[in-house]
Amino acid sequence: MSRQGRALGLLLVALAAASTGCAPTLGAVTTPPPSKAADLYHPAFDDDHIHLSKGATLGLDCYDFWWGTPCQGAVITSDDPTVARVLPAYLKRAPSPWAGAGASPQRERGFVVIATGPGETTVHVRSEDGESEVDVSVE
Amino acid sequence: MSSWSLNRLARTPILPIALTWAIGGCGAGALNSAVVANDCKPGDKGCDASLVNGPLAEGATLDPRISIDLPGSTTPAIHLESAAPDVLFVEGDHVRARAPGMSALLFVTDDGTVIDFLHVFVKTPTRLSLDRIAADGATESVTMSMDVLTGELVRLRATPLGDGQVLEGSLPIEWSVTPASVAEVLSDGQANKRRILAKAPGAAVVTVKAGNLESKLDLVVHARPTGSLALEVSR
Repeated sequence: MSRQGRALGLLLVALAAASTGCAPTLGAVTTPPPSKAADLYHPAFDDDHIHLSKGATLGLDCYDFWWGTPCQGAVITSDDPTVARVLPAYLKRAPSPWAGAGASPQRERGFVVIATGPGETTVHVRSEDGESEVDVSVE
Repeated sequence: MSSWSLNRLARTPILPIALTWAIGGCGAGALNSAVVANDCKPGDKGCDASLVNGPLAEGATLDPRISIDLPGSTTPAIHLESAAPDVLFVEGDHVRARAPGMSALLFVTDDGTVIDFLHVFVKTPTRLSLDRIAADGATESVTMSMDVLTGELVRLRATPLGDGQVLEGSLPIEWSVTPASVAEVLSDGQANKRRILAKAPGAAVVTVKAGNLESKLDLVVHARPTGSLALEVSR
């Protein structure tokens, strides 16, 4: 791809991201256990996807796409709790490097997704700013 | 740059570069708040009050001691939950390893917020190892027969192993010794530990059973030297 093409691609992606508004953005904050799956994927131009082994749990942070601030009033629901249960979680964040020296770690609400049984379902995250859908598959 | 990495870039929080956050702390839980240790009586040097690191033995029970570090706050009331109850079953503060596999053990406040969680593996034990516990709490594996004197107490601990790996948890273990006229099994406060009292000269066999596993120890009890003999030896 040429330099102009790359620049155009970046611009398009940035515009696409901006056009999504401020829907909650999720980030994985835990690692899967050895030989098991507990991963969050961000496929291009598609909903996020979580892949879990049965019995595994994935911790998720929820933040504003542009500012990185925690989601406000976010609620998570699962279409099928027999495949994936969801619960709010209490996360500890190191202070932002922009917060200056001596800033205290913050604790903010995040979520966990718990793989309860094999199958596929969808998880919805709703905040004051919008809604995100995440496809979940449990093996 | 691939579309995947462009997509990741596009999802990076823009202003504070918030991806530099790190989950702090040094706990064993995935969210770095909780530390889970075996339940040990205070002062029991023979008990491993270590972190629960290995797999649980299938059929074993874990009575975990959980400490949670929340700066600026005591820990709210929590309870345990299992992600896969067919593998790991929670009964109050007991965790039972039901079947081989893996399950997350979640520490959940009573109002339903997850403080932390730990992925726990369950493995089928393949052998029972017998360890002798010395007076100073040190343990060493017993692989041969033991000679003891009448009146001597031997502290033993049975440890389940899975393909050589030490498994965690407390298995229901049966202890016996035959003949009972030579030695006696005394309780020692935990299912995996016993004191063996040598009562009279002779040969005895200590048998330890946990499910299908069995381990035996040959014990030879010698008469304690008389006072005159001891005096003679000391000369």
